[in-house]
Amino acid sequence: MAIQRIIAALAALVLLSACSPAEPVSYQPTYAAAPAGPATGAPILFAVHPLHNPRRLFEVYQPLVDLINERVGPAYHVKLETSRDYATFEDKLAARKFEFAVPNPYQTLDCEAHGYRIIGKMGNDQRFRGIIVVRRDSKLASIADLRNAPISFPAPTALAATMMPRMFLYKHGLGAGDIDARYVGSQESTIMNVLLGKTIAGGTWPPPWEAFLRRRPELGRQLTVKWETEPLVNNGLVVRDDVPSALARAVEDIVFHLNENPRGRAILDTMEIDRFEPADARTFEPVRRFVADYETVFGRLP
Amino acid sequence: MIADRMERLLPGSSIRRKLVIGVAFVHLLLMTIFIFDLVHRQRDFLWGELTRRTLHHAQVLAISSSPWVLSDDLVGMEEVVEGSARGSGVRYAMIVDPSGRILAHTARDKIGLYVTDATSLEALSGARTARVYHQDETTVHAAAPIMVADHLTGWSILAVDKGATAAHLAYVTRTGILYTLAAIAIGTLFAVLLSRSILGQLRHLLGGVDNLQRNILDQPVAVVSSDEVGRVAKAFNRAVASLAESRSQLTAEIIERRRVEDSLRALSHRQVGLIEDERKRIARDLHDELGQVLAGMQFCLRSLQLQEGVDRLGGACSRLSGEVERMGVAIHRIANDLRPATLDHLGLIPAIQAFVADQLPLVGDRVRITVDSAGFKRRLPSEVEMTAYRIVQEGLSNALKHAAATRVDILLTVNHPTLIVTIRDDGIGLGTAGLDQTRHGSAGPSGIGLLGMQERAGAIGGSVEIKARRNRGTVLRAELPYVGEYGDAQIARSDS
Repeated sequence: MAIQRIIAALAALVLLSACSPAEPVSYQPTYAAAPAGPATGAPILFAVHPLHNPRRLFEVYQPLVDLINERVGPAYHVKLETSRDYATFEDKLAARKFEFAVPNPYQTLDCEAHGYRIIGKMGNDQRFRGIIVVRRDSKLASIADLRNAPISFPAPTALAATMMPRMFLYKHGLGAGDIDARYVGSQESTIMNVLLGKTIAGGTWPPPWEAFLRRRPELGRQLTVKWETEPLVNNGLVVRDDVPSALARAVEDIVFHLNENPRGRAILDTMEIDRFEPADARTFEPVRRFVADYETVFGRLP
Repeated sequence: MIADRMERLLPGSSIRRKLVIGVAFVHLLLMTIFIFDLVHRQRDFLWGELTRRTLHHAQVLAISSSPWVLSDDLVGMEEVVEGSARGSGVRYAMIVDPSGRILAHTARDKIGLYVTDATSLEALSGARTARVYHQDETTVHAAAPIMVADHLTGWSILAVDKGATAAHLAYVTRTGILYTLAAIAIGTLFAVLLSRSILGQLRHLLGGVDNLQRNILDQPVAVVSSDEVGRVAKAFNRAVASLAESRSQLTAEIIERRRVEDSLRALSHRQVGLIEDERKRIARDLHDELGQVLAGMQFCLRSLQLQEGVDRLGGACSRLSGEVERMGVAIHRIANDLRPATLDHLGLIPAIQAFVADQLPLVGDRVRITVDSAGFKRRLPSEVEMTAYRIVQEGLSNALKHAAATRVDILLTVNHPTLIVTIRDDGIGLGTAGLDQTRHGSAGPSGIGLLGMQERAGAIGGSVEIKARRNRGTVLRAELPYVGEYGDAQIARSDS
């Protein structure tokens, strides 16, 4: 009888093991309208137009923002903000979200209407030109071969990457309706579209192209620059009109003297420019004329 | 050893029951251990996998949300968070900035609030590595930093429900129990079938053993299997057949031996009868013939002495008459030894008493002899009386001559249908001399030794048994049937 009791006990143990215990209490985070620690003031936003994807843009421009923070903190805390695409960036500019911004030349002109003041620009205008990349194995021989072909561009308002190449193509015989323009959001996306054969050619400009070659040389070897445009005025540096003048001056002082110290030069090297230099609205007159011509050919920009 | 333990646990149970319970117990034990181990391993694996998956999920959320965080694109973050919350048991997911402010949350009403509990704040202020910062029985909470260019831009926080895993474990456990029960059922069924197969043959064998105990050797065990037990059954049948054959031979030998023994006994009986008859005839002849002659001679010598003129022969006649008289006494004694007339005319008890009386002068006061017939009065067949008389004669002579006894008791009792003669002395027992006497069967005056006593008793279907201890006396016991193959005839002959 003893063994039967053992069997019964083991069977009961097995069956009991299948029972679920009582529902335990689970941890849940708590929320409040105010932070648990001391509240910090709203940051000063420093925005750069999407000449790279956000992550790359952060890698390139955050060192500059760090440097600025070192100089203006703790009174101010400057935060770099990127944008996924040109349209978003322009919307934010229109909404006056940023205290400081590095828009492209066209946007520089445009943001004046939203209360921004032009205080500088990137130096080395010779680098501010559009380029058209194609696959190295492409059969393209002349611009005429691009007629009705799909061509990728970052955005309609990307001056160097879109507007200048399109104007270049126009001047070489391809009118507004002669190409299949595809706006793919960013410089890298433009290049990747060409690489994958989704478009025959892509419009971009030297800094993102060179960065792509450095970061993904195995892919870059499959592409080549087929044409390049004439240069124009480089990207601008604007400050919102309600930013304290002391802060604006401090930022100007930092930015315009980057090329005078190793850390600054390292930052500029990362940006693939040699300096920032003071500028104003007059500096961007060539751009204004280019845009007027462009809108004459391709219609009013959004 | 195992069999002993099984016997202690299941005292008196049949082999079949032990086998079935044993198999069920083994299945239950092994399957319980297996299921327990399996569930334990499954739980460890699944919890570990859930933890790794949650951590990986949080890292993916951190990476995929980084562009939106850098762009401060709340809508984009919301889409990423909602995308990450699909499936996989995500209880909630959120993206917070380094200060703990919620930028995106699966519960939209939480957006813009701050996480304020100590556990969350500790996770956000700790090392900038992805980790599970809290885990309880229902949820795994993981956080991953959103790092760009070595800068912390926010955190992704994810809580994954353990419910699905717990349900799976419960399912595994239930399945395991079902498998256990199935294994026990199958094992028990197998044990039943196996025991039926094995014990069926054993049952036949037990029947054979019962037949053997009842001395039934002509019913072989049915061999229903060809396994080891079947082989045992075949061997058992061969052994029983051999035993039956041996018994048959033995029975035949016994019958033959009994027949021979009966023949020998009859022969011996006839021989003894012939001897006794011859003795009787010689005794009668001695008594009748020589007695008459001696009486005649005595009469002549007496007559001669009374005649005149024979004075000078008177002495010789007188001496011759004395010699004739002694010769008559001697002839009477010899005849009496050969066949006591008292036995024939007065019976066994008077004959024994007369024999004892004849011995008393020889031993004098040295030995006291008693005869107790315990009310035994009747006459028995002459062969029985003669055999009893000869045994008493031989036994008493042995006691007096070899045992150095000071007392000899003779007891005759009748335990129908047997006469029991007991001669007990207080002598030295069957010492070397007595033993030799018996073994060699050297004849005494009566012509028989111990061996002769046994032969005489055996001739009428009786027996003689001697018990002796050194210096503690000897007991001779003879059992002589007076009814039976010889007794009845003798009685009839005696009665006639």
